[in-house]
Amino acid sequence: MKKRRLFNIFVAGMVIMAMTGCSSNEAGGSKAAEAKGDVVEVRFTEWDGGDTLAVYEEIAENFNKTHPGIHVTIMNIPDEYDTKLTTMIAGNDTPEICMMNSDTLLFPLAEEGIVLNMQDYIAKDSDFDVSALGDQFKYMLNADYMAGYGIGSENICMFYNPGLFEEYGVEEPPAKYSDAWDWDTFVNTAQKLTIDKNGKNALDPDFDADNIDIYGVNIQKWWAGIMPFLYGEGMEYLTEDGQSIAYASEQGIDVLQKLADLTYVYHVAPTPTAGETMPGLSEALATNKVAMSFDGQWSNAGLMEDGVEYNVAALPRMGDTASTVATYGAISLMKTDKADEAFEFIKYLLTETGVCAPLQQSGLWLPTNMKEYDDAYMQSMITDKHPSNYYDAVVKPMIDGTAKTPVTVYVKNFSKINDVITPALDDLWSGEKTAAEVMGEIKDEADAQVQGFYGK
Amino acid sequence: MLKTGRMAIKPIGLAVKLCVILILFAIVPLLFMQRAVVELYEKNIIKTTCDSSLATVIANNKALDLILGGVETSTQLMLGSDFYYDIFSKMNDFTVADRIRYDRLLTSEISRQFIAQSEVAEAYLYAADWIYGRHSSEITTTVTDVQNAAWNNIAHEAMGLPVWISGYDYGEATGSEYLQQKGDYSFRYILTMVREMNFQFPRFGTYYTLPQIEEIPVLVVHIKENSIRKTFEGSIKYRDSLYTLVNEEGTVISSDNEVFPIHSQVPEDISSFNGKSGYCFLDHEGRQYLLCYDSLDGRGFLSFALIPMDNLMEDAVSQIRFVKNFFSLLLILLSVVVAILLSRTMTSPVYALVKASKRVAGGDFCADTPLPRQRELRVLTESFNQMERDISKLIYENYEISLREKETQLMALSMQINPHFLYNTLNTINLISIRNKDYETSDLIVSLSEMLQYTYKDQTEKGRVEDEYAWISNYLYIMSGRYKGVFRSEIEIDEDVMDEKIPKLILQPLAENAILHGFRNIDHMGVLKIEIKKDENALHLTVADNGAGMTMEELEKYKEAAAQNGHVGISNVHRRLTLIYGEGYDFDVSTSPGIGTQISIDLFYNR
Repeated sequence: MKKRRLFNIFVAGMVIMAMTGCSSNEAGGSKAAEAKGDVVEVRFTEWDGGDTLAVYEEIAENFNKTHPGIHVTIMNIPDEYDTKLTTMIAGNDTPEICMMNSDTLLFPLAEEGIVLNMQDYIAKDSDFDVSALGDQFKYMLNADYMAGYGIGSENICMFYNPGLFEEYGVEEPPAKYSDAWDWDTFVNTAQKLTIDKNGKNALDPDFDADNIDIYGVNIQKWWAGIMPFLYGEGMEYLTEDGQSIAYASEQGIDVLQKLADLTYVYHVAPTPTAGETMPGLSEALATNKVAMSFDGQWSNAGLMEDGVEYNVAALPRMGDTASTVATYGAISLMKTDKADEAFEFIKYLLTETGVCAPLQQSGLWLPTNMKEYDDAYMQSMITDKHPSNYYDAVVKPMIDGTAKTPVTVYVKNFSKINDVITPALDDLWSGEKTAAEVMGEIKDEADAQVQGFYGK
Repeated sequence: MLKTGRMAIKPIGLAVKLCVILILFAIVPLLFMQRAVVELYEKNIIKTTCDSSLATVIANNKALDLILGGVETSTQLMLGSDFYYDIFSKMNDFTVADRIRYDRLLTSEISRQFIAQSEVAEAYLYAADWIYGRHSSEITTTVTDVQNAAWNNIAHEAMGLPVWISGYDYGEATGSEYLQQKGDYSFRYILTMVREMNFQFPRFGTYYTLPQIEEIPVLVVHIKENSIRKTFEGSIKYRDSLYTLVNEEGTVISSDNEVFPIHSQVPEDISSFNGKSGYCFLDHEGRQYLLCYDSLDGRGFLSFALIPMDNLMEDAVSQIRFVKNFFSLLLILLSVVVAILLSRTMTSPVYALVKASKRVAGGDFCADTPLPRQRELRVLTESFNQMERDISKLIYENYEISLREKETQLMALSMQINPHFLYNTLNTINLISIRNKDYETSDLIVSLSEMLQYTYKDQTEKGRVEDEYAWISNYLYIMSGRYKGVFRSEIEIDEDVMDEKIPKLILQPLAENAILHGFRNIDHMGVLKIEIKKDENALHLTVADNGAGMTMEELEKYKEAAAQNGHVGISNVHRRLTLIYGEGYDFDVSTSPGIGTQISIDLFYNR
């Protein structure tokens, strides 16, 4: 009798177990969801897509794994970044961490207090390894207010097609800035490599400037493409007194004119019209459309990925010193309730060695963490795919100071000044006016926007 | 064959047989029902799935239409914008510097135009060997590319209507050897809209249209294939389902599978559905598929999803299978349990009966087999018990009869002593006693003589009460002679019972008991009371004394002694009564120490 009852209970037990099987899972799920409620959600907005975005997401994932109380999500805004960001801020939905365009939103928002003073948080945090920070990467609103810190440093360098140098028997450009070509040597080399449809180079008296097959050089016409040469002539973006634009100085006009002359005097660089047919750097180098190109170091990533035969070299110098310029975006801590948690992620990104290694290995970024400017570390970031001159032409200038801090970091009211200069320069690049004429016309208008330097 | 089969079945126990039968009864109908339900269900599922999948395809198409419509609306707004008009109406006078300047201006303006359409990867205006507003860092476009792909010509031919160019290879169309060689790049397959932008708008009663300019600008908008794919990817949840978007020519625009790669042609039997919406069943490369298709009216696009029929049913079938297996298992378990319980209710009484018959064979007729609750087996067990009792009674009766026969024979033998010798001798003694004037002895001898006479008179079991009364009077007289001053007797017998018959000498052992044991060592005059009465049911005999009586322990001891030793008076009385009346009498002893003992015998008339 007893046995029978036991057996019944056993059967009933099995049925109940089978029935409760699913419900217990549900209970587990809701518990997990509850636990997730304790996690602080932090958003990080940035504009880079593709591989960079993938690496950002990987960084966030690694951070989230080691910081159970914080969950960082990457918010990619590929177009109209500033517009969308201002909309979010206006809608009281400020992201906790933002990449910032230093020439547009960064400093105005810092002045409003929407971008927090990162210095306060660093001072509060005894664990923060300040040795990771380099002064040149700090975006200082004034001597005490750090509005952001540079990440993903990328500098301007020369890319060239070794095949063309070999074909036309021209010596390849030097890798080191200490050996950089002077301007005349550079122009001469570019002329030898500018070939018309008849195969004649730009030095040839019968050279057909209207039908050029291969251009000697392609230049950058924005501030980062101009500044390296201005530094070479001993000038900054503003005159030393911080009162006037240096483009309008004697040296500035010289620099601009020399760059314009590459197109209209020496015919070694494409005209704007011809530029409309010039494909991207990879294709241009790979299809022998151009022998040399001044471009951002970030182009390495695409070139390496495409497997293009190329190399990098030091930019030529116009004055006595060969220089280049670094560019980087600012990462900023925004004024939100979650600033403390958000700062944890910034701290992780800025002070942990090797966090951004994939982007450094791909050739896209250089470190802004000073601890990573270590020979052993940097060598480990250079892979077999990197061009042979990568260290000398790209990494070393960052270490020895040849690559200057971007002007957007310290020039007040930069974008307004730039908005006056850039359209004016169109007349120079189109060959319609000389540099002296262009600068003469807008010097006063531009100077009116000059407000001196940040952090000084 | 049949015989061997039966032989094989026979040794199987009842439990197993029941088990098999129950399981068969449980499973067979279940299987039939399940089959029927599944068939119904399948039909239903197919119908539901067809409808829901088609609904998904239609919904996806709507989403796609919304995206493409959104782009068209944005371009429509651009067409009527004075901003663009103002720029391009002066196009004939553009210097290179103007072009650079407007290029920069338009770059930010156009990207703002499509700010809400995140699918738009690139948008620019092409006019007279110049591209304005190019902003993508990903898609590289040159004037040569536009001209090679003839987008400007296509747009001009459409006279301002938007034209969607789809299912083409970007590198091939633009004639870029580099891209063709590269093969794998993110914008290889893009959906492109081109539109001639004849900017015009009304203002203050004047309608402004572009003057005769070198070339009416052409807007080129690129949407990457993966943005299109996002609208449908993963929307059909069935494994191995294929989702594809094709254009009017049957060229694949976007696809989530390798079966219909982008830029390839889909078979005629699928592309022929363009312009229609619905579903059908289709055999493709030897596999049965459900084809759900819906057309994007006005754009000539056809979206279709192919869902393998086997996977379509997979989920539902696996669910049904789980339920079926679960219940089958449950039923089998229950069957086993029920079979075990059921067989136990059958077999355990049977086993009890088997045990009982073994016991009976050993000569034990206690008839104590417990009765099962079940009716049929209860009756069987009851009759078995009854049989035991009957057998036991039969045996007992046979045995007793043979005993009584022996006793009667003995009695008869004893009768053979010549009574006359005894009477003559007693008479002689009597006469001598009278001669010696010993009248007491004479009386005693007369009493004894009468007693002997009654005893030997006949050999029947019973005698009349009157005779019995005489006899016991004589006996008591003799006993009173012996126990002078110890007791006196009171005999009450109703007149109407004098002719009744009672077993001969039945009262003597009881009277003797009272005199010998009851009146031993008492300090008062003993009274022996004998009563014989009758009522409608029975004859009541009572022998009572006021002697020593017995405690309960003494009574028990006495009863025990009576059971062991047949010569104790009471047990003799008992035996005789049983032999004569069977169960038709009651025998009762009531005793109390110091008060006396009363023995009552009820002889029932009908029992």
